[in-house]
Amino acid sequence: MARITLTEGSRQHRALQMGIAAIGALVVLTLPLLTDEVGAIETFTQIACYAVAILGLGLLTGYTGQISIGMSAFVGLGAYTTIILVVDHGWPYLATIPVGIVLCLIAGALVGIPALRIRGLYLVTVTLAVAALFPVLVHRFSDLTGGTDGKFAQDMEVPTWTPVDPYVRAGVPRLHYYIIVLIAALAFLVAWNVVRSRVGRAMLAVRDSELSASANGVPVARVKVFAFALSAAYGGLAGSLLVIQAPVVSETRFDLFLSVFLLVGLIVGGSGTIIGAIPGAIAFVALRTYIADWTEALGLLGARAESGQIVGVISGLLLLLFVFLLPGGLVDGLGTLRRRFLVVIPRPPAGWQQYIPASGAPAIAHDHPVTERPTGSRPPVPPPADAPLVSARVPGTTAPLQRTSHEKG
Amino acid sequence: MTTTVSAASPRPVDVLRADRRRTAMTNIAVVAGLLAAFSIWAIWSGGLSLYLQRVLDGTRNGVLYGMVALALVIVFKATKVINFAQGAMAMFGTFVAATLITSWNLPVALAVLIAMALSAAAGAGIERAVIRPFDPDNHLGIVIVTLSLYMAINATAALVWGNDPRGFPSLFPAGGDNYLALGDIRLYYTTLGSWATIALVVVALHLMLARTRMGLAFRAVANSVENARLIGVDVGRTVQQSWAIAAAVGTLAGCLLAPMTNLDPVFMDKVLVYSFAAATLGGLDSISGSVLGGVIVGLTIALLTGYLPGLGGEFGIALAFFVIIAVLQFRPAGLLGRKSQERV
Amino acid sequence: MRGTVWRKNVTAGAVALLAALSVTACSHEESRQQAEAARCGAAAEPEGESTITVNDGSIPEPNEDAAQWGLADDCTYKGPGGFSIDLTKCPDDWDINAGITEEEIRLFSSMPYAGNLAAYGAIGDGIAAYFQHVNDNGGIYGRKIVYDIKDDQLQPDVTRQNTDDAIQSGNYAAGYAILGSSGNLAIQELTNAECMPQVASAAANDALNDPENFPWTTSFGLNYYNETAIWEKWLEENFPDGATVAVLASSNAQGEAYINGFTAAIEGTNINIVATETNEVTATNLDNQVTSAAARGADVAIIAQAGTLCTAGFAAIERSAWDPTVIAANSCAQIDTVFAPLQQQGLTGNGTHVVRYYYGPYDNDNPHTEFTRLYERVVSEQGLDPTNAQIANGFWWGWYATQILLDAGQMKGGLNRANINVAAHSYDSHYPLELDGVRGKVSGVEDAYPFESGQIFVYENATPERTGTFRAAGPLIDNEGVLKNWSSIQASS
Repeated sequence: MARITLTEGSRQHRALQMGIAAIGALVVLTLPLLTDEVGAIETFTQIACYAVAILGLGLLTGYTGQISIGMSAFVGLGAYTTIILVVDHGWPYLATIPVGIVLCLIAGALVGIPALRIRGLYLVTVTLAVAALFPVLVHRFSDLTGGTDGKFAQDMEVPTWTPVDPYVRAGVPRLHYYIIVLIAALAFLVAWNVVRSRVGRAMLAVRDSELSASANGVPVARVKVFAFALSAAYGGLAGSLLVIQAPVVSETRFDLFLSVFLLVGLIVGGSGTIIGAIPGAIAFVALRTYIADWTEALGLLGARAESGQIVGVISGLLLLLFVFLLPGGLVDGLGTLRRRFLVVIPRPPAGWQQYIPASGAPAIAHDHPVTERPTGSRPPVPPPADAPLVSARVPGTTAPLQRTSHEKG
Repeated sequence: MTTTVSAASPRPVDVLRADRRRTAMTNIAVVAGLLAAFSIWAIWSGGLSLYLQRVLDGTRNGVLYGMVALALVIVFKATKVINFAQGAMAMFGTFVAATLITSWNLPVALAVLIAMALSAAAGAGIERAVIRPFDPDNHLGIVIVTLSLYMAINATAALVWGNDPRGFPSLFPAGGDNYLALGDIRLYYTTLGSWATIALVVVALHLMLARTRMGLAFRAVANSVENARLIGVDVGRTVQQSWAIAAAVGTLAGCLLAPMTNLDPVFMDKVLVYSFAAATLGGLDSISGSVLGGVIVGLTIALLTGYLPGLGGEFGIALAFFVIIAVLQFRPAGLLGRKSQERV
Repeated sequence: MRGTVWRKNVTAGAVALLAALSVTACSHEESRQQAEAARCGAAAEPEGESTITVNDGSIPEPNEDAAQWGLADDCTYKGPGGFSIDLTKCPDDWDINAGITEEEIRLFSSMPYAGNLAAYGAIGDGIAAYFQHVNDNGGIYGRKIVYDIKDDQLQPDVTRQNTDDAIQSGNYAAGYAILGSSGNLAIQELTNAECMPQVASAAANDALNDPENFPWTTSFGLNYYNETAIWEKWLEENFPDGATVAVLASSNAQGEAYINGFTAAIEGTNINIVATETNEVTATNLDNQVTSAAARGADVAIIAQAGTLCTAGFAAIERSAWDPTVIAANSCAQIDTVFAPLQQQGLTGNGTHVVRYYYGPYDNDNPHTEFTRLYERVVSEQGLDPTNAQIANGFWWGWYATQILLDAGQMKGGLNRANINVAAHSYDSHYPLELDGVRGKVSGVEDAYPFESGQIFVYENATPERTGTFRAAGPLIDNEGVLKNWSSIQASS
């Protein structure tokens, strides 16, 4: 099929971006109105909540390169904060969100401090211990948390003045969906901005090579602690949103398995991207909720009680499949597919002419080299975000060396 | 540090080794000192036989944590990879042994040996299939793969054998009368047998490392992969062998642990965090360190929960967590590990 | 002339208007009556004879007293023990016959089929097996029981979602044996607001038996306060000069319930707790705890654990030099899963005392061998493992579900959801494997706990080669009705 080429920043490109954004927004806004089934609406809401959690994990693991399987502890912290404040102290749900975020920021920073000296697989072990510790803490403080009985609250009250009718059966879940999606969208916006800011670039630098980042003046320690704190805050936000969606908690909801499944979602969605959190969340919810039901419905493995274990097998195999075949996740796969039909030529940075030597320079390569995968039998580290504006290989950064050698030569 | 060979000193001294030994001795002395101080107080407050009983309990648990930690360390030493699926693989191997015993009526020792051999083969296969394609610096990839193995193996075991717990026969004479009486304390043969087995395994591993070609290759790869490749060591095969040995050791640990706790798909998960603490404390690349770390963790939990009122059942996991963080933060090499853990 | 035409038109118009109004008013009344009928149940007739075709005692008979209960007037249904439910409190679109057709009665449940506690999910298999047996032998007044179980991985938010789905689908008459304290507590308000019967919850929390506040929720099993009261009585008789007790309990809801119950039971007696040792539910063994308890030299050791930790507790005590009288929680009373593994360690578990109120099918002292054979046949035919204790428990649960459905059919108003709820608060039945003299009996608000009797047995004659037997070590203690309901327990404590 003929390739369409667009220059980035051109009118067509912008129109395309607007169009996709508009369609996306339309889908998101009308989704709960398409069905009357409360279960389906609640599933959509859960996808939004878990997308926030996976986004937080992505900021830490995908963008800053700090692998963590301790996310469930922060999701749990946010969730328990919300429900304790709502049940025991009568706070309104939305007012508890900032409290949860602040607590998680502090907790995340505390976990991040050991991470300054602990790296790689040691860090994973530490985060594993954090995730394993959370249910123990819930037990220990069972007066506050309800222990193994869990804690539950009344549904959050919904406004009655919106065009959505709250008195229908599906009404309250619908309004919860909109509130949660609004907050999640804000969270995504913040993440997008962080990633495109100086801090975001510092995070990428720390991920790619800590030594050269440090040599280049990036405050590695502060960036790492910031990344931990930020991702914990996202986790806590996701926890609070989950409680709004289903106001019931118990420590089984926030155990080590949640962390592992969130990581599965991250890899499946695409670990170096913001938007990848959404397909990741869809995969997560599908794995946890539907696989077991489908297996039972199809009558595979009989109707034995252990048939639900198929979820573990499928998750494991899915993960292996993705890591070998599609380490960049679904976003990367879709991107490759997209590039067969549509190529976006990246716009050169402003003032690029000054770096061209007088004798003429080779034309800038048409296809972005960063996103090509090196051939070989080893799947590489997931490639960075397919973001043409931000790249560690922008010609400008190597300019001083070129200019110097040119002057000398 | 340079070594000066003068006429006065006839042999060059391996300074690094001496330095390491000194550090290890210091570390052990510190820990021993703390334990001794606590022990004196404990004996004074509760009596000698209660103290000895607690030491026995703690050591018994600790030695088993240490054995699972040993499997972790074998893999880590050769590859710098922490295999999060080690417990799951050990559990699977133990189930295989249980099936051999109940369905094929094999004697226990034979079944365990066959299960160890099968685990070794499986470990080698897993390494070749899903670990080797990855660059060892690709931590995210390795973590994902081991976690996915953890999930898949746990789920498969539950599918095949069900979740109902079952017993597992002991390798050693067991029973209410099979103990050695030391005053008031009873030292059961099963406990002695486990200690002897683990000591044997540690000695065998040390001998293997020091005296065999395979051990030499192993040490070369553990020291530096690049250099090993340069001198012609088949790195891939060596790593594969390390996975095979680790899997066999893990299965043996499972077979020693199962008689005590009953066998079900989650019985290894219970010790997972403790084994990580043990491995970290002992030094992730030290074989004897892992067992020592396990013993210290087990002892500490038994003594502290026993003598300090108010420390309930959850203290164990909290302690393991604290050990992991504290060791990695302040002494990443652990008690007996090499200090050359990357600092940059 | 024009005036007459005008008046005629007006009259015609007025008559037409009145006619139209009366027609629409009638149709409102009709649909109102229809809605009321859907909600409160029109005067449907009770079912006749039970359609069960076997007479071997493997399926219960409907309770004859049930005919007195049921629809009282308009929208109120009444049962014994002061139980009454007012259906006008149910949602407007509530259908009293949801899930009940001429061919089927549909029940739902939510259980863990994956994860750590999936072992308990086997209860669902046992219940389904029993329902299959009932269906094969005539069914409930000719209707087959359909039992849909959804997986919730013991996560209460998923339990809530599953329950919500079931309610909204309108396809289910009642929820039966939903598993887990946190899940059942979380859905209690929902089921009661939606008038969905939450019958025989499989949960360890005594707060689920509170018909005054939550009339649509019931739970099943031996109450912890009762069990500890039976221990206390037995201790008083066997240690008349007092006793020192060490309690080894899990640090979870079950363990705490036992500690609280036992502490309350021994108040004012000369039995004293001298040590309380707790352990996390993921502990590998109880050696540390037993060593600490042994140091106090208590006369009695109470093991309030479940599953493999029961075995661990027995093993640790037997290995030590301490020789207390051991009392274990009822959840430890399973020979094949708890005592048999001890043999692999060369131990026996002899001398353990435990409250039992029913036999496991393969217990050596179970005299009802014919029923055991039937159980084995039914369960094996469906590809399940009859030695699995949870499946045996499920079979027992299934009997009571059948009793409840049969009773509901005999009540005034017929077999509908309100009567299912009344029946869940009024049954009085005896499952073949229960001890003689034990009955599962509830009676409205007056007696919300089905099992309040039990007997202390001692396990003996086991060797490392073969399992032992239970021998009665005390009389059957019948506390039926003593505890009333959860509100009264809370009021008195």
